[in-house]
Amino acid sequence: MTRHAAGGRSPGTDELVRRLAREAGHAASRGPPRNLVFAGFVAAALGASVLVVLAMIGARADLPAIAGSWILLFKVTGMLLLAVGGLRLVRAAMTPGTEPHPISALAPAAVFLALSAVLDRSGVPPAGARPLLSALLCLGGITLAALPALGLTLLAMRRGIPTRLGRAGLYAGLLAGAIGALAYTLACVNDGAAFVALWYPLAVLTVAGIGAALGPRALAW
Amino acid sequence: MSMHEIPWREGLLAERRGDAMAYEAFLRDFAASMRRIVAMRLRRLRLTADEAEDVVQEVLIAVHARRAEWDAGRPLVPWLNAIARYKTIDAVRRLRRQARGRVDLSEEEWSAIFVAEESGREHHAMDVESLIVVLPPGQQAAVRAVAIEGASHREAADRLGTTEGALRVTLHRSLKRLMAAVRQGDGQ
Repeated sequence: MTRHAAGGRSPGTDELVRRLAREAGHAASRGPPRNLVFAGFVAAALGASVLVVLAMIGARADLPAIAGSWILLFKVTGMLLLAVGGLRLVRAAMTPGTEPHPISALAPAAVFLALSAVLDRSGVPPAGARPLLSALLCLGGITLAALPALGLTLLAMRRGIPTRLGRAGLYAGLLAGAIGALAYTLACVNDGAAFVALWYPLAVLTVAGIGAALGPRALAW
Repeated sequence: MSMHEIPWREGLLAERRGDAMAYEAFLRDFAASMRRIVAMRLRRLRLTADEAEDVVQEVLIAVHARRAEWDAGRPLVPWLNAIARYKTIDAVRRLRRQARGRVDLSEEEWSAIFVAEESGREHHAMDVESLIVVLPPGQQAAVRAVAIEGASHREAADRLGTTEGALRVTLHRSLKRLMAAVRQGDGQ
């Protein structure tokens, strides 16, 4: 059993080390820069989510009229903040030795949404203009829109080195959910801040859960 | 900061310049360090020396394959640690699965080899004795206790002053070796 006792060198390992050392200077770093590829995946994820929303629900009829107004801008800002937080977490999760900080990454979006909900004067109840239907449409729409984004985000993460796969999948889901929600703002007709602050994050959390479940299999290397 | 940070960082940077000697020195040093960690951390899993060495090799290969992805602007040791942790957990999971399969199988294999024959016990014992001379003494004792004297794994382990799990591994090893010996004998 102690053919090579503690501290002793294994002949197999010696041979392996020599073989690996001969490949010095030949690391595969061809192709476009890593950051550019990652940015490409995120852009593709946003594109895919927008396509799903437009194909499934279609843009809201008065979109051109409200395009520059706070009604739309508020939702876009909230989801952009969330996406940026997700982006930071995903980047950290695919870089070994880098600790993701979920609280500080998600705080800006959380504070923004909470303040907006508190200051909400729209009169739209938190459950939406047509309770249940509005909420279900929002949850389902964001989740479906986020699924292709989740696939692309996981693919992008596979090009990095994720080492805690469940957590990495969770962050991928957070980012994909935020991207899906961002796309869903084009279709969403519920303009109450309380509604958005409640249901959008719930939908994003749903996608994060899916990501966490998929992570260990999808990200293994 | 780890005491390894500076020499190892230099080793990996040398690799990027194509310096095989410096890279080899890094790999050796890192492997020695991993070997100590694996031996220390995984002691309670009762990995054999071969299995522990497999884990070390898998970590080496993973680091080698991903070496271009280390950002030289970041500390190296935490990067290596995260990869080593991931690959070690991965390898231990696989070893556990194998160990389960190994224990499940061995009982049937043993009964098939030693108990099926309805020849007299003396004859049977002689056969076994003549077979097991190829084994090292420790394995001989284990096989003798279980296959000839018919002790249960528990009893045999107690008698030989080892644990049941370790005894099963020893039996499995001897079985593999015996089968190899038989196969070799057939070939001649």
